[in-house]
Amino acid sequence: MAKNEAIYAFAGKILRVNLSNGRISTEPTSRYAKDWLGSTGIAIKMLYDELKPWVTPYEPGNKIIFGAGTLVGTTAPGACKSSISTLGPLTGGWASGLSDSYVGGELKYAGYDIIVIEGKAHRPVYLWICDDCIEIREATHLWGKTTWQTLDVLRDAHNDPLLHAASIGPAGENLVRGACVIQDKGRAFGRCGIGSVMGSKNLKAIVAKGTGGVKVSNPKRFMAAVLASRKMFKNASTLNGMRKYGALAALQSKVDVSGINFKNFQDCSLPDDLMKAIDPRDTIEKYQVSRKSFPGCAVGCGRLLHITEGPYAGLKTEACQLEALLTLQTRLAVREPTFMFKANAYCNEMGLDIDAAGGPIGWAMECYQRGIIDEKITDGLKLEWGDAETVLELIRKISYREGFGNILAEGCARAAGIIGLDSSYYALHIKGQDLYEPCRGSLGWALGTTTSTRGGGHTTGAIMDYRPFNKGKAKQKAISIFGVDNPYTALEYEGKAKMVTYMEALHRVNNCLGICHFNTIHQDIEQIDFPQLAELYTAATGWDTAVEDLKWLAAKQLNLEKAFNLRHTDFGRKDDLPTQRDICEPIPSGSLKGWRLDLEKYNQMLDEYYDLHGWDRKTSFPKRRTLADLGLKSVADDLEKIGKLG
Amino acid sequence: MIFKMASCGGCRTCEIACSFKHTGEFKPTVSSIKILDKEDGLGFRVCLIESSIEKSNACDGCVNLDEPMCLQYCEKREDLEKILQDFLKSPNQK
Repeated sequence: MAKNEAIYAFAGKILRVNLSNGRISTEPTSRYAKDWLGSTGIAIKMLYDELKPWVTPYEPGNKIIFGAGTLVGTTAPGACKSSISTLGPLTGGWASGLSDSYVGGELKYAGYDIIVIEGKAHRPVYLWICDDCIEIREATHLWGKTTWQTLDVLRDAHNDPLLHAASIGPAGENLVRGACVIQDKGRAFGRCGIGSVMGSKNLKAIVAKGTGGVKVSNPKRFMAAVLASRKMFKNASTLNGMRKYGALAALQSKVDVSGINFKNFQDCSLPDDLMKAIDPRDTIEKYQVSRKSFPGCAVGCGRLLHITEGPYAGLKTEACQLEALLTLQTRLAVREPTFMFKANAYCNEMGLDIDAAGGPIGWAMECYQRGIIDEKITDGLKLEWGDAETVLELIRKISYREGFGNILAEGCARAAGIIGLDSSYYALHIKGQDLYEPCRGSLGWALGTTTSTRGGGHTTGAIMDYRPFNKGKAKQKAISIFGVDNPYTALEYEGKAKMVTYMEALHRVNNCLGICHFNTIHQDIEQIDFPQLAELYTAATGWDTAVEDLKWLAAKQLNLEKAFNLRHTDFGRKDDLPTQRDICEPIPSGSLKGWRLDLEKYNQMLDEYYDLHGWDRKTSFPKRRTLADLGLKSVADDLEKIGKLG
Repeated sequence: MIFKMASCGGCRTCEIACSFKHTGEFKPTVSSIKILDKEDGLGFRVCLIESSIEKSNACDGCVNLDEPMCLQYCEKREDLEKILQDFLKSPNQK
């Protein structure tokens, strides 16, 4: 865009902070805004351009990019997401986590869209941003503290009960590979081990506070688009459940497609008595004291709980997501119904991603069950399924890299490499990232999870194809959206590559604009989709942007993520396949008992997926023509030099 | 003036919308409505500004609009509407 052209929706500046020499500078967001949409799009462009291929995650040469979504700070539905991206220590490639966040909004009100953090501080510091005042401040007094304690100390010190921070806990400080960054005391910039990269830079927290505003190009058109989008939600059939119980409302639909992770994926459904004992709806109704939501959200899926009885009496925390139930409670077969909230809260305090806890602990418990490891290795702990106290002790040991926890802190893939003895079969991961997602029984979910550029994960392409949208009007709508005959049929291979390609683009646009997936068709076919996002983006920025433009920009971003991974890792087609357990074992029980993944058909689905992307079927590498069409000719040249052009 | 609102989820979209009404941009510091954490536990309170102080504008109930901005974006519209009516009826507002 022209040098002096006014920029709307964006705050306008990128803040660059070098922790090694203390240098702080700014540059205009306009350098990237139009070509990369915002937040994660700008992050991958900067990381690709600025990181040398030989840089490793914990070196000062690695960079962390915090990005507030383009629509964050406005009233757009679900516009509360910010991202933190870096070269990640779990996969060795593209790492990006998003969180509902007040920090992102405050950052924009302070005048910045993006923070680029470079180098490494000589001692613990935190980054203070308040309008024009940017300071790298001493954080020795915060080092060692949990994320909850850190927020309390910061709020007390600044006498500001509404101060917002994104901080790391002991797990990040101790370079636990799956450490996350916690926004205030609840939501996490999860997976990928972003928190440990912050730890490697001695950066304890990012605090932002702004008194300025965000302007949109056409306020009248923008507000009309926002209100029209919000009206759509009244037709969403999943809305009531989400508003009452959050994502935990989806437990039954997971059960229906054998989407449960029980005893580290040994089974894909739950024993009836356990299902009854842990029903999260009962627990939420019993202990909820308040709703909890984030700026712009038209859903409102959060709940604040005060547990008043049982082993965790006194705990005050936000209700967890479904992921915590599946990766910590059912995976480890714990019966105490409040355990999911306790374990989730404890992980948040420690700054440990819940999958980086559930993954290695589930693997360890199965190894213990099978006699692969014993108390001599586990520091005397008996790793019995369902033993809640042992799980909490292991979360602590992982966070401090203490004893056996030091092995688990590497994530299940590397831990299995250390232990050997065929234990790797029980380490369920994709590209080194611990998996909570069962990849049997729901093929669109599986394909999106296994091909994800950030390692295993369901938020960058997976489609919840088991949702009840395959009948009546919802089905017709889904057919018109995805262009496939039978969209919501979890066990059909046909059409899934197309659906995942659609969702990959939608998820990326969401992430760039800062829109929560739960406000879009990711969650419910009646919620907002590309046309609404294009209208919101156009009205906000003043740049005429059609649905196809958004998809093109998302494809460009995806291809650059792919190229970034090819530069930094040896990923290929083999890494886009499900785990051996998901391939080899039929579903043991439940409604889909006996169903088994057909590897030949899965490979055909993967071929179709690569064809849709213009990637080579054999290697998975992008073709020159594909990259050139996306304006990435120089990236094609880069890949050709290292023999990775498809 | 501070009100209890048990159903508030603390999303603060009302603050962002309110600031738009005053300035034409999204700038919560100038809002007439502020969402506060409860002092004695989990949950939120609603603060409506009676007279303009520092950067915050006094709440006028959006008299020039068909529907006040904050209500247009509140998931618990009826509860907030009641608070707004109580506020506008309070002696300080007359």
